[in-house]
Amino acid sequence: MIFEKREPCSNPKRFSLTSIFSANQEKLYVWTDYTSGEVRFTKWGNVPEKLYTTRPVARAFTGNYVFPKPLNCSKILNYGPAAGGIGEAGAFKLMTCGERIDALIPYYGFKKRGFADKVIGLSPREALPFVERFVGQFAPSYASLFTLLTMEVPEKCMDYILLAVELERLHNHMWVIHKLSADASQKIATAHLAAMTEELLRLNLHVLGHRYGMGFMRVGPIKYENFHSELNKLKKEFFPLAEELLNSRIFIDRLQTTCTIEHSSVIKHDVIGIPARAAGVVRDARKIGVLKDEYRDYKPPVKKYGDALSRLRVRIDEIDKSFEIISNLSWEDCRPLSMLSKEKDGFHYGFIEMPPGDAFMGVEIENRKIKALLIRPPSTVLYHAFAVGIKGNVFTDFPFALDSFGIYFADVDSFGRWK
Amino acid sequence: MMWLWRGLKKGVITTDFPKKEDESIPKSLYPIDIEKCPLCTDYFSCFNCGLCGEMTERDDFCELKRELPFKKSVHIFSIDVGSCSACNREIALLTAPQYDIHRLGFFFTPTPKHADILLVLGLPTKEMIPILKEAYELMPSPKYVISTGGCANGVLGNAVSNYIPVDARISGCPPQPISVLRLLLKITGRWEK
Repeated sequence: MIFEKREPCSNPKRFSLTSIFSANQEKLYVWTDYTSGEVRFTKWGNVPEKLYTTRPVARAFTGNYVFPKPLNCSKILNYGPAAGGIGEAGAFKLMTCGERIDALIPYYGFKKRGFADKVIGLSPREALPFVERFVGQFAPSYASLFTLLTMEVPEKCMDYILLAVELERLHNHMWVIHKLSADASQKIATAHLAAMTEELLRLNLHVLGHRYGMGFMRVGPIKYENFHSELNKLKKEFFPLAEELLNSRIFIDRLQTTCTIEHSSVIKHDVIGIPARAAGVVRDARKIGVLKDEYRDYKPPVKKYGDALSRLRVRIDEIDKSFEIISNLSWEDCRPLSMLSKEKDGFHYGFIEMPPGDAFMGVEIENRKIKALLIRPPSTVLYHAFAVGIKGNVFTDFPFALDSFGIYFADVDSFGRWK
Repeated sequence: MMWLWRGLKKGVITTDFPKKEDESIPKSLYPIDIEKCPLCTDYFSCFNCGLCGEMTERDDFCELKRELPFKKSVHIFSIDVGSCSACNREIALLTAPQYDIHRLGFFFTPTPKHADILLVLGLPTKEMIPILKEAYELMPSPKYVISTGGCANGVLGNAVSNYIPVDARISGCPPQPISVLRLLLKITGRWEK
């Protein structure tokens, strides 16, 4: 691999710290300039203590979290891993004073299923079912990134890949808005959004062959006559509903100023994806990732306040863009399996913009078999961002704050270097 | 008022199931010949990945060893022991208007202490096995466990049944909400077909 020895604190500020991977006696660092798309790989013997101050996101990759000095009123409590409020096998450790959350540490590792480990030694085609299942909600994105890095994909199938990725964005964004409205007990809106999510998943099954798009390259595209008419129906239904939600004071009061990550915090903590764009920082892998040519005219929606409401508004704008992108795609000429041939040898890396933020993947292939895999899922960085934003909020803000990120513990537990 | 109007305009979208089968729900794709699969041994532990070749539409498979001695007001505790989160979403969608699980007398509970059924999702991980066992111990008798989806049924050789007694299984990666509903009706003796 291409890692150059360099002291990590000496990296220019224009590079965002994308990941730190452990490798025997060394740490491998990945840095990204989101403006030019330049990616820099460095290595160093350890993680210098100073890096935790200059690049606090480093803690997300090493797990080296510490609580601040407790106050007289401080209490520490554990939340999870089988708590209904989280909905997944994951946990948080909270330091509170009365109702106020003073610090939060995310706890990973409950969902280490070893899927990433299983792909080593397999051909890319055999490995794909495991890659798709790192996190079911983002299966098309993981599959697309992995396939584009490991195989030569025919040009006529790029629209089909884009279709799968944009359908994934639609159902994930709608599900996030559904969860937020459920948290605010907006029961009618919640029911409408759940129904729309279900309709989108059925559309996925009709055209991709799976409700979450797993295996979409092996079985799809499937011809479905009503695809555009059903999608248009959903579009017509969604926007008036979103407008009404945004006019509901009961709803937006719960989101406004909740879990705010301001512009300066985004820069300091190397935040990515929707939370970055909600604070006015354009970090979007659609402009630098493996699909950048397909998104060449795309202008990422941005907001400026960085709170849960801004993240919601970015999502609503992105839903609009996704509907528009899908309406201009043509995937009829793509054939199943045609994408899964001609494996590439060597080390390949890249980004893809998943619904909550970007994922980085590096794959080393030797003799058509996977030798090593590097994965930095978006949730790894965004649980850290959640921990930053929730500080100073109260207990009742917790579900609004967490759900506004749309992240998963299954995702974060795929993080690492596998070989 | 606008919300009320919106609901009326949309009308009833809840399925007629179980009065009659709902043909509008597309079925999942399963391999035609499971024996060709390089990963699993039967349909219950199938990933629906398509590696084995040709696929065909069919309902998710379900089997049960016994029925629950209750018919209505059944409480379910769902525990994720290592899923990819797709199963979690499918279970959450049981409350979507299309399925409306509550109309059939099934409810979710946030604690195993109040649960009649333990719905286990995912591939049991080392960290979650003790928590799974604890949740099972906390349930009141008669305990009923459903192993939900290919991962929980042991696609990679690590099944939920290795750790706690399993009373029913459902296939799928993930199983569709309508199939989970069908299994729940079978378990409570309310499936007439």
